[in-house]
Amino acid sequence: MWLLAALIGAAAVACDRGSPAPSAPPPPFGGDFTLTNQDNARFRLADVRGRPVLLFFGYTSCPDMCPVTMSRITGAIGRLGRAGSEVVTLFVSVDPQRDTPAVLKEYVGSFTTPVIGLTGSYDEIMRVAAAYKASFEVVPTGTRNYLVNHTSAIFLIDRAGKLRQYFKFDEKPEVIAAGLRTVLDEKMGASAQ
Amino acid sequence: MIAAVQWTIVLLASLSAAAPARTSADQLIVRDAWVRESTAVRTTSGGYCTIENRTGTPVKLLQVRVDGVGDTQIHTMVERNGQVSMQPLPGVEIPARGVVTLAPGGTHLMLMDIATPLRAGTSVTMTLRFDNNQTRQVRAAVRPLSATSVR
Repeated sequence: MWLLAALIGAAAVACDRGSPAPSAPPPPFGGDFTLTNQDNARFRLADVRGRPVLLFFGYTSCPDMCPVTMSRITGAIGRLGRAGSEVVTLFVSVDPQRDTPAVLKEYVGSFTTPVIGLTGSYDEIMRVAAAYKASFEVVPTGTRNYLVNHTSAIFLIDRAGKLRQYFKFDEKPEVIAAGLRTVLDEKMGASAQ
Repeated sequence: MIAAVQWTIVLLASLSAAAPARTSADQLIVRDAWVRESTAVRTTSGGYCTIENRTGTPVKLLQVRVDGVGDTQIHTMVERNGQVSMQPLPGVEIPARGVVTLAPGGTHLMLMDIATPLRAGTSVTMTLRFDNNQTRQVRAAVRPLSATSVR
């Protein structure tokens, strides 16, 4: 687990140097998963195969970082022109207790960029977090509200559903856009599932 | 946590001081205050502002209160091994002749236990208390969830 954390850290540092790493080996994790979307319907990552995906973990009561991450994603997608409409943005809640489908629906509806909000049982969320080497922990605040510290990375998944790279949450939108362009330029091969 | 009565006395005293304050109104300026909207379910939100200290002495922001918000804390974000956590700060120093902006993605105000949802397009009173016994009261614009600045 610590080795993987170190790998994540190393990859994050590589992103800091400003060069997107489309040619670097993709992270050896990620994968398909099933959760519940804001319409209370089951959603599988495989449902959006054929389109690039940006995925990040967060929660609707997140006061600052999650709205900021969404604005960076909006900025990145905005740089792509018409091709931006192919990108699917997934918001995976690390607070399934409060983030019901109805709560997600209100939240994602606040952004001009289309985003699919995902929740589920605690076990389901844990499984997705584990698959993406993401972590989260509840932090009491001494008030009725609690906070959730969570992995801040933005994950880039290609048209075949494969995790290709991830970005620090404060990565420049143009760097995220460059990563998106790389996967957008890839066509689905005849042999792709 | 200052009791409501003590807090009111401090506020009234600073507002009604007959002698010139150590820092006059144009020496410590709070502007561009804004908060993000909240809902009946999302009772936590973020708040931001710019503080300009035109005096020759550093000034420390100690506490912020927002009307209708149960608890407002100053938080900064700390990233460790790819996980970001919020860390409460006991205050924020505004350097002499300096400007500090609490902005999205950085040190910001965390509003918790918001009693009545903050609706975009309205404004709410924000009171900032500094370590030189100065307080500033400003109107903070309520902006949509997707907002990244005051405009």
